[in-house]
Amino acid sequence: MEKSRNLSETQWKIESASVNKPIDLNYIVKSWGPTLCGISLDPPRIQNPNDAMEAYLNAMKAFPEYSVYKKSPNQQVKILQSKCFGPVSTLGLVNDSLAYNYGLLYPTILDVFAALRSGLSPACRHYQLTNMFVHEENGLVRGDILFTRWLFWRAADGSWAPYNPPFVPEYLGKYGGRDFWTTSLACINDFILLGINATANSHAAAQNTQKIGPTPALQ
Amino acid sequence: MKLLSIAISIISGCTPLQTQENTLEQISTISNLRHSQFLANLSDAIDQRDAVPSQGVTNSGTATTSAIGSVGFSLTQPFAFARNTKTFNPMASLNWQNNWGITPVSDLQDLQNLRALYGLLYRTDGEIAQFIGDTMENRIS
Repeated sequence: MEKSRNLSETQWKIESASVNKPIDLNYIVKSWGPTLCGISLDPPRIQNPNDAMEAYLNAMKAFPEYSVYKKSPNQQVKILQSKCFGPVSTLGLVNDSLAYNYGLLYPTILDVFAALRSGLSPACRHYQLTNMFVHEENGLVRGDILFTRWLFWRAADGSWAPYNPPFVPEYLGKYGGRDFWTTSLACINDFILLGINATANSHAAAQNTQKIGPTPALQ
Repeated sequence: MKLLSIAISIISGCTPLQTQENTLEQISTISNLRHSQFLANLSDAIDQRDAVPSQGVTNSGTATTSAIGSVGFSLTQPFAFARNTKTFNPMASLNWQNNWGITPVSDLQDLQNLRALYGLLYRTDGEIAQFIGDTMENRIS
C-alpha cells in the first residue's frame, strides 16, 4: 500500500484493480477525500461540510452547474466535472441553459449549502449560529455536521429523529400520517423558498414565460 | 317589490367587499399549501426513502362572489282578507368560490433537486457521508 501512496490516483486505481485487492476506501478518503469529498469513512462522517454538500448534490445529480467544468478534448463541449467524482452527467437543464431559456436560475450548490447552514432569514441564521458553535467563546464552528437540523419527528421506537432537538420543539401537526415538530419556523420557511428555487424550471412552465435568448438582466 | 329591491341592493353592495375578503383569504392559503406539500412529501420520503415528490406549482387563482335575489308570493285565497293565507317570501343569497390552478412539478431535474433537498432533512450526517462513500466506491470499481 505504501507504494500505492506515491502513485497518481488513476495509477493507484488501476493497480488495485489489477491485483484484485479490495479497495481501501478509507485510504482514498484520507489521501484526497477530505478536500474533495468532505467525508471520512471509518466511521462515515462529515469532515468538511462545504465539500460534503457538493459531493452529496453531485452524487444525487442535483443542482447541476458549470461552476466546476472542463472543456472536452476538442474544446467544444463543456463537461461537468465534479471535484469528488470526476466527470458527471445531468438529468436536465444546467443552470446557464435555464437562465438563457427562461431567465431563471437554480440555486448554485454553494447557495444551497449557505441557505441550509447559514439560513436565508435572520431568524434561521440566528438559530444555525446559536447551535453550530462548539465553543462560542473561541469561535469554533462544528465541521462534522452539514447544518443544525430544525425538523423532527418520532422514530418507531419513540425516540426523536433524525437527531435529538437542541431544545423543546414546537408541534407543527400531522402531515402524511406523521407528527412533526420544529425548533425553527424560520428555517422551515427558508427551506420552502429553497424548494421553490429548486423547481425553477417547473415554475417557468407554470408561468408560461419561456424566452428565447438571454434575459436583459443577464446581458 | 320595494322590499326586494332594498334587500338586493344591500347584498349587491356587500359583493365587492366580500370578494375582497375572499381574495385575501384565498391568498393566505398559499402558505398553508406550501407547508402541507412540504411536510406531506417529507413524510412520504421518510417512509419510502427517495420517493419522488408529489408537488405542484400554483399558477393562477380566482375568487368569485355572486349575489342572487328572488321573491315569491303565495296568494291561495286572495280575497279572504280575514285569513292569513298570503305570504311574501323574499330571498337573497351571497355565494363565493375560490379556485387554484395547479401545475404539477414534472421536470426531471426539478424533481431530482427536490429529492436531494428532502434527503438532507431525513438523513443523518453519517448517512449522507455513507452515501457519498458508496458513490465513490461505485465509480472506482
